[in-house]
Amino acid sequence: MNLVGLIAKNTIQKEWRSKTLLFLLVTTVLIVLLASVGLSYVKNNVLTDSPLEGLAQTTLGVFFWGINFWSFLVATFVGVSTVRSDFESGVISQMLTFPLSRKDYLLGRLMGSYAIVTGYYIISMLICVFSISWAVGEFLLSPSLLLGVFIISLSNLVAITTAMIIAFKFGTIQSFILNVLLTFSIGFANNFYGEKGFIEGLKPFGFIKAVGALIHLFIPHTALWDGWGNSFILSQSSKFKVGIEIPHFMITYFMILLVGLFIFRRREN
Amino acid sequence: MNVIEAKGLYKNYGRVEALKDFSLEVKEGESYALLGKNGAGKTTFVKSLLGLIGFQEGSLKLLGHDVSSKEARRKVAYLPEKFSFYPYYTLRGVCEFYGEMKGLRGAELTGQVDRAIERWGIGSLQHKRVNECSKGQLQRTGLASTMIGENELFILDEPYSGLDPIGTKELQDYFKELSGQGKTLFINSHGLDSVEKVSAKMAILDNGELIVSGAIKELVGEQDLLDYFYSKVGR
Repeated sequence: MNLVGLIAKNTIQKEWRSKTLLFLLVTTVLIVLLASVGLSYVKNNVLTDSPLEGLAQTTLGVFFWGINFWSFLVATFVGVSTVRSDFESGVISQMLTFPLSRKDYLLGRLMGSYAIVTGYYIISMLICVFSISWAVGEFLLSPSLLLGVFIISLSNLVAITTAMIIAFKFGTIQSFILNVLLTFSIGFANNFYGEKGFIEGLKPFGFIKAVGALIHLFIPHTALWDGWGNSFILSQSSKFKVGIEIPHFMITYFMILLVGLFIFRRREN
Repeated sequence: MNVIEAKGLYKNYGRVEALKDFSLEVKEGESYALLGKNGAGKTTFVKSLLGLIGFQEGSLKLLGHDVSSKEARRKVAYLPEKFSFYPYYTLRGVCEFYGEMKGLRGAELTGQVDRAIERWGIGSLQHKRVNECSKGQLQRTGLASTMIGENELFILDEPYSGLDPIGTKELQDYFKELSGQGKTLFINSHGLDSVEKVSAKMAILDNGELIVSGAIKELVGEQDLLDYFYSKVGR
């Protein structure tokens, strides 16, 4: 295993012990299981004479929305803590004295954080799918669902990265709040400009629109990617422009990484 | 060969000048002590050596490589004043992580970790977690970690801090052992007695400026090191 891999492994070992992460996972499982039991009761005792058509997909939609939002919070939590905790404990000075560049350290931390958040996301999703399948008596796991999960996990990668960068400059709670606000802003900007078109959306020009336009131009369109991912999960059609969005994601994510590395290199320990 | 080569380093924190035109050469196999009062700039220089902080002017090389490159740290062992690590690692796990980060794998890694643990008497504690250990046990683990890898330069930040007389003696013996193997030692310390026993050369920093450097015996002569030090930086 190379040094980036070792740092990623160290990140997974570090984060999976996090009591907050464990609490979130247990809470997710409990909510999903309780809701499934409720759903099963409704199906068997209340809707015995009514058609069940669409119930499974509707329930899945509601649950997936909840899990997506929850996993975004987990991504923000992990992103904020993963490098920041090394600074707070002083271990950073030992880590950076290994023959390891700051770029490798950062990449390792990102890879490890992405693995742990995606692991959490997949486990939550699978529990949700299996428990709802049991409740409605219909097997809901499909390859398109897994593709949707992968697409949405890329939004989580962006959330981890922005949280990590914000936490270079701000405290833990401020970073958490700022990353949530940033992600909501991305969502608003993506939905607004995605619907109206970039040029049309700017008319009439205003300050908030300009800020939104900058966010829409220079930060990956995570809201649109979430929408695309959900369309696979819920077997719906999507207007996602693959030919534009994939290059945009790659370029803007790379730019965010460069900004993060620039700030991290300048940070003194 | 110069193992450490600092030329005209200048570092400030806002209006505070931490290093002013600081130049120093440490040759292979030397045991060099960096002395100075609190706030003299010693920690700033050690952090610069480790690439943890940058500087505004000058150049700094370790083992012939620019300090900002990872090559510079390939054969460097660093012992911080207070050794700490992730709480859930066992003491053996810490040593293994250090070895892996130095590129060791398999039997070579196991062999070096076993030797280091044995040398520092933490064999019976090797499966204890970091958060269950005393400061002394952690410091021994830190020392064990310096033995792992093909280290040529040992940067030791206040290594005698908080040690009892037995610990100090063991540390002095270890440093002599390393010097005997031709390793280069760079010690940032307040403990003048220990410095005299281990180091042949020293540099004294005051207000970010190098005020004296050279062989301790030649500089101090018949004087006591503490008196000499006081004559240079005392009020």
